[in-house]
Amino acid sequence: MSGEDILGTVRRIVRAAAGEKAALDGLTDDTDMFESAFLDSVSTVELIASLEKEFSIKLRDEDVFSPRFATIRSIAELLQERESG
Amino acid sequence: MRLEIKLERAIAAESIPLLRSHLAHCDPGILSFDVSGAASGQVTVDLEAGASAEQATRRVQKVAARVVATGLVPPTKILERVSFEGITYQDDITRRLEEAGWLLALGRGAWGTAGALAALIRAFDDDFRKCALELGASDARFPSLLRTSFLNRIRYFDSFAHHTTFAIHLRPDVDALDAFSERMRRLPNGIDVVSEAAPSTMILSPTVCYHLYDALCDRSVPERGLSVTALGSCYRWEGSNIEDLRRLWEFSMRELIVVGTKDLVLDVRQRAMELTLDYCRRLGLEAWLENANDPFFSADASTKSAYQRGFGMKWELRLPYTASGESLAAASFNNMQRTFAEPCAIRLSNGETAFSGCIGWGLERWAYAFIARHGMSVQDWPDEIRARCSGES
Repeated sequence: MSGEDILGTVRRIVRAAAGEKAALDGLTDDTDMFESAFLDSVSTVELIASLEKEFSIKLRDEDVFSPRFATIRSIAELLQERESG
Repeated sequence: MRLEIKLERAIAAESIPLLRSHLAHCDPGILSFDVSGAASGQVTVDLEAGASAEQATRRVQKVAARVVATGLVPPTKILERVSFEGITYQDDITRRLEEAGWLLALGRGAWGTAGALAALIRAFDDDFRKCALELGASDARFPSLLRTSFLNRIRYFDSFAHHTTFAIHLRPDVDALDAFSERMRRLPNGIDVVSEAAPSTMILSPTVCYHLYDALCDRSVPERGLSVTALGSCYRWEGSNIEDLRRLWEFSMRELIVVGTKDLVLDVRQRAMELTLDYCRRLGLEAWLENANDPFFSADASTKSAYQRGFGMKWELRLPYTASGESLAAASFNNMQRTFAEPCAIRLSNGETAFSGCIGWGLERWAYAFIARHGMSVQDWPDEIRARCSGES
């Protein structure tokens, strides 16, 4: 999957997890989703499960709870590294 | 009777504090428990005579399953640490305090303080209040009573029913009042059930910030945000986890609550952490800031805990009180995001839902750790504190 494809897929999955909040408050690729409260505890777990399913990977706890797991763009970069690694 | 219970899954070290908290509320037949084998998937409990081993096993397995349900275990993160060379700690603090007459045993989880200990707690409160004022807060006072209608609005009982201490009063019924008085004369140690109680609409507040959120429901905060500080008595039933000043049923907390934009909340929280660490440095207290979570008791406890701990929503300041590294969470710095503002419909002046945060300093724990570090001789205490406590010993 290309970098653009990964970004697009992450964007779709994040927006699905954030639900109506994503549309209401203008979530961008560089918004910190946790500081900005787009994601709560339940939607975060949904996001992790969806990413793992879509990309057929197991995300490590240290990936999920790292500062990089904060924006759509940084999550896409993380996944791209995992794919190429 | 000792019972060794096999858990469905091993408990990660980071999740053991949550398991320990849960086990105290798990089964009335459990007298004590040992979680040292939890990392290998086993918990040992002591049951009172006649208690059901089958029921205790099922309940222990039930709460353990909640702790690990998501399988997510956020790693422990230390944000910052204050260290000193050659630190020693005194032990047996509670006995020493009682012998000095500074600590008064008044029932389970309830202690009075006197002498230099009372002055020390007052000094801590003064200093944390000053810190809050420096960060833009204004003073407030709140009652201990808190209405259950507010708690239902924020769905408090979903997560923290186990901590609840109800405030009850008797029915306006002369026969019931007479019957109650008569019964109390025959029961010097108290009663199990108050059958004459009226339906309760209040609890004794488990925290200080809830009153502000209650007062702000369906309102807007000014554009610059709103910061308030208050000292409160807080009530959390902790079951068998209750132990001296380290874990009380009733404790004293100074809080700073901030409601406004996301940037305001994060800025105040950051500055409060820096000021509190500076304070530790000045007082010669070792300390560190560590990611943490509240003791959620709900079926989704592990989801909420992992989120709070993993994404830095809650940082706790831990103060060690033994050379082997035992420590107390003496302050917490919380980014509540919109957890309260959303259900309470608290808005910014532009109509958007506000953000909030709170900082809580647990005063008895500060005093306990301070005395473990500096001892009971007031003249040996750091100048900044000694000046306000001398003459009180």
